[in-house]
Amino acid sequence: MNGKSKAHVFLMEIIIAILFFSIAAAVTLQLFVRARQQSQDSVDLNTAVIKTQNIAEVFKASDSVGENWVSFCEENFVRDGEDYTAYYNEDWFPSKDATERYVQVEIKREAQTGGTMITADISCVKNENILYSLQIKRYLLNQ
Amino acid sequence: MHTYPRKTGGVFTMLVLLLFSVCSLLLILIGYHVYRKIDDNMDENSRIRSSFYYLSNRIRSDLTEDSAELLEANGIQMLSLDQSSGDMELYSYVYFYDGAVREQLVTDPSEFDPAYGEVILDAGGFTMVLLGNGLLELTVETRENEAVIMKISLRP
Repeated sequence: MNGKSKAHVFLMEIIIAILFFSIAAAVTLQLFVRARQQSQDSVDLNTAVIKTQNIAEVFKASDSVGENWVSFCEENFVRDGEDYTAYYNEDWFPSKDATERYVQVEIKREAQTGGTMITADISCVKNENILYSLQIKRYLLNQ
Repeated sequence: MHTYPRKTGGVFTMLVLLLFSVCSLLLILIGYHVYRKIDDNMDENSRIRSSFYYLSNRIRSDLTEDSAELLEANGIQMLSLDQSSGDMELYSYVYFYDGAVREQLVTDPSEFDPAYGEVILDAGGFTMVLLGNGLLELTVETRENEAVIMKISLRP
């Protein structure tokens, strides 16, 4: 075998190795992307749980569910009737321009004998998917 | 038939080999960064969540709206948790000292030494505020200077 055909064989060997490498790299990169996404999802879920629970705690501690209960939350809530919404940027910092991530509190009041049952549905949403939601109820006696 | 000089063929082969090596190295680097990011996220999640839930369980079981009190000793802010049972008087303090949120159980408040507290969570900072309406706010600054806030509604 002369030197020229040896070089050809070596080149073929490298090309085949690169082919296998490319297939393995494509699979590995897909796995990396998926793993990173799952990790980010878990961070988002953790943040959503803490934010939702904090709002629920404030709601639970408020003497009367008036307008001022949201002042104990660190969220910049935008009020629309009995609905409160706070928006966040991709790092979960409050932002008025962002729309993809938000926490929404919907309050419903139901008059009952001797008092009012107030229900708050708290949801943390990312890209229209609910990451975490909580429902909390308070019974307020009529004064 | 056109043939390339032997030298050109050798250089091409070496270039392909170099490309292969660079791509392998890049893939390893990407993998390293992804793995590190996942590990950091998991570590941060589990550290903060488990420590916060431990603290909130302790506070919920031991404190009420009336008994919650923030103390200060030697410039260290402390939350006092009542651990007394029967004749035995025990004092448990939660505080931040030397880069960590710590807890210390003593039989006499004069025995309190911040350095001997059990580490609950390594952090950049820790503050506690009583907001009124029986609401306690805990803020942990992570090592990456991110603030994580947890609010606890105390029992009436």
